[in-house]
Amino acid sequence: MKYAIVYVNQMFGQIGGEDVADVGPSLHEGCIGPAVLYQNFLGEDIKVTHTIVCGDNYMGSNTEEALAQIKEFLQDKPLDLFFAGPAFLAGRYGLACGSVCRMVEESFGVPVFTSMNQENPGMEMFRKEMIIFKGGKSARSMGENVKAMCNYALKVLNGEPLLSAEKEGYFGRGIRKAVYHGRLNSDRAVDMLIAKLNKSAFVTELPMLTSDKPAPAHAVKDLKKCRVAIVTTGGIVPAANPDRIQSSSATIWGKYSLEGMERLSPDDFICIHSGFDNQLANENPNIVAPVDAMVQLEKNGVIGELYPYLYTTTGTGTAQAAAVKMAQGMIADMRNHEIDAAILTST
Amino acid sequence: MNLKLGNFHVKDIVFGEKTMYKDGILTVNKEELLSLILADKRITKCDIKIARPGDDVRILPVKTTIEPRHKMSDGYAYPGQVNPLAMAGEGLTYCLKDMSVITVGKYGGFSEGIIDMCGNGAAYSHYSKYVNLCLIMESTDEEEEKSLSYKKSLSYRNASYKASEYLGRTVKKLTPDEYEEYDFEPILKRKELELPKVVYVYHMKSQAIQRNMNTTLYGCDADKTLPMLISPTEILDSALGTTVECVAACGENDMDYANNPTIKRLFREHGKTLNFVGVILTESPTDMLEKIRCSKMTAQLCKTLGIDGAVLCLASYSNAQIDFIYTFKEMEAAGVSVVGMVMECCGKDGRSQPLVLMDPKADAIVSGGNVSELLHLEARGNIYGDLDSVLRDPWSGAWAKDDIYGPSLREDGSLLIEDNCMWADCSPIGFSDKTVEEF
Repeated sequence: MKYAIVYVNQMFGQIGGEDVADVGPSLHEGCIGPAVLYQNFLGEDIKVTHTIVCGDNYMGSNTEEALAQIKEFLQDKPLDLFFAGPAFLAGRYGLACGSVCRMVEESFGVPVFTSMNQENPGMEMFRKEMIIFKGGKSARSMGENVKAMCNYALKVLNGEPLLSAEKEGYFGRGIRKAVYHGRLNSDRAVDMLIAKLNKSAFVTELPMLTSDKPAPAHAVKDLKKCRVAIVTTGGIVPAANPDRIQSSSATIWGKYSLEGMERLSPDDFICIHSGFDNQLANENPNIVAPVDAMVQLEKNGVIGELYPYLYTTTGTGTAQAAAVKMAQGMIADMRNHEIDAAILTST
Repeated sequence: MNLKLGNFHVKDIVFGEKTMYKDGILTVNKEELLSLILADKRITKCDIKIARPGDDVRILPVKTTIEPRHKMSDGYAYPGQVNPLAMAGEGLTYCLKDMSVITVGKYGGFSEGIIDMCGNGAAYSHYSKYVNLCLIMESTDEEEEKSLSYKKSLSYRNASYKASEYLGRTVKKLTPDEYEEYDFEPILKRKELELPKVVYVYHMKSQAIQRNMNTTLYGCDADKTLPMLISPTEILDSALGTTVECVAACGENDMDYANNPTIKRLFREHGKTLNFVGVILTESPTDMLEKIRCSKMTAQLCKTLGIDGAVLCLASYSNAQIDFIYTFKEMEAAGVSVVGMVMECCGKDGRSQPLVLMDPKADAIVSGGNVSELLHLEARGNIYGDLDSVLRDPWSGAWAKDDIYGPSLREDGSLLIEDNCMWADCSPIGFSDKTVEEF
């Protein structure tokens, strides 16, 4: 036997409407409201043991307390699946479902599922973190929305193959995974071209989302007083590559002393970057990590001080997430060493 | 231009007294082939092994894959590569199908790859389906091989061509199992077809400043070229040569070039749904101005010819995706309907931006996979090559240490790697049915 618990708001929990939206969380044995439907669709091998009910306003304005109370409710309960909603178009309910599902997944590590309409603000806020099924606008879609969640949850429990977000009917979490189509890429490309030429419908396999653009940092006030670091994604490392930084798809960054150096010597530093022909960089590593020029700027008083360490990694085939993580590591270290500015060189 | 390929389907390879082909069995005199390879004094060691589909074998580091061929009419099997220069794309060429000659070294690097012949790893290379003759070698270039992430592997490449010619000659007096015929009528002599005029656009790799690293066309380095129109039959007749300037998963090697399934499909559509006007070869330089020049000149060439549609093939990823997106946009602006073929780089967890440059104008894309997807490949009983290379050498997509994942080579001999290492797995040339979907 497997066990499931369902979260609903005050209205679907049959406490009342907007007038009781301030009510705090309560735990009820058995199924209330939509939980009955969950039990029907999940079948005999899964028991919906409890229904948790909470007012939307209470969850919205006392989120931490509400989540702590719900966590307490769940502490000693057998739990294999957790459901919240469906929230349809109800904004506060959507946010509540997202917050509760996030807490349950983090605290108990069980699969969590919810359902919202695409215009529910909770959808955009939580879609990257959890599976949110595409739900209707109102409770008229209750049956089909609950059924979709239950069918998918059963597949997860039974270890059945799981299809893409589009095919399963939930909002994509931004996780791109390889799958086998059944038709060769070459054939799909020519089919798509014929469709495009004939102005027929086709579906691109890579929707072009706009890039995240970080906001620029504040301008440096007085460069003459700055401690400046050199950061490179050009793969310049000490000759033995002591930290084994990868030549592509890097996840590791290094920090190496420049103490007493006027320039990087090709005897001591090499280029391991494999996204370009590094012959010239190996002959003179300063063309990628310009220690020679920075030392001159320090001598001429253009910059206050050159921080005597090189921050380095390889920027080719590097996944964005890995790049962000490495940057965060470097930034933390820079803050510890009171670095005011950095120059970042690539290849 | 008319090209006829005479195909011999190799069902198995065995060692025997006389190198010959009969009824689908390729017999190889191992000593004779060894002496041919070792005649090149740069090769210090060579062993030859056969890897069949289903064998408990892992091959690494793979350096080249090539299909044995013999030119029956005037010309050469691999013109301008090891052979003297001659034009490809016409006449009769014999091909040994369903097999490849694989060169394997000791040291891995940026472009070396892995082929598994069975188990879960066999899903990640189309070469797992062929009978492979593996030349496992070491060379006097050892210092270069050890120290560099980019290895030119010249002696390996030379050996692969020589072995392939040697095997190709075994069928020259025989009758092929079947013929494939590609008729490419001169485009100015075609009777007016009321069909959309279509080109296949291919980005040759040209990031290296040294010679013998970039894609070659009849032996000419891609970075000496500007966008040009050639006959698709030339590609199918080995006008393009391997690059070492690309990770394994992108699949740029002689055998893939010469069997381009997208070009073959465009031929099948010719006269029915479209008018296949040819192949535009362009390059993917590192300099920004050159990238812009190549993308604009490709579009201009389409305009000059009156092209309506194109399949645009991204050769590799990272900075080559800039060439891809620029060319896509320039061609669309020139009135060409473009469909792009790419591989993505979304990170081990699939959450990273798939291309370094994204643009809403690139609205029709076929994806060949995520090169950085995490794979856990079962251990294999037999290693052709050197398994320790995974820990020791600068692979793309394998690592010696990692705080989360630990080393790529596990104690039980299994591998935790990125798809990057798998030979030709995400190639946008189109051999696979792999795509990417959002979860």
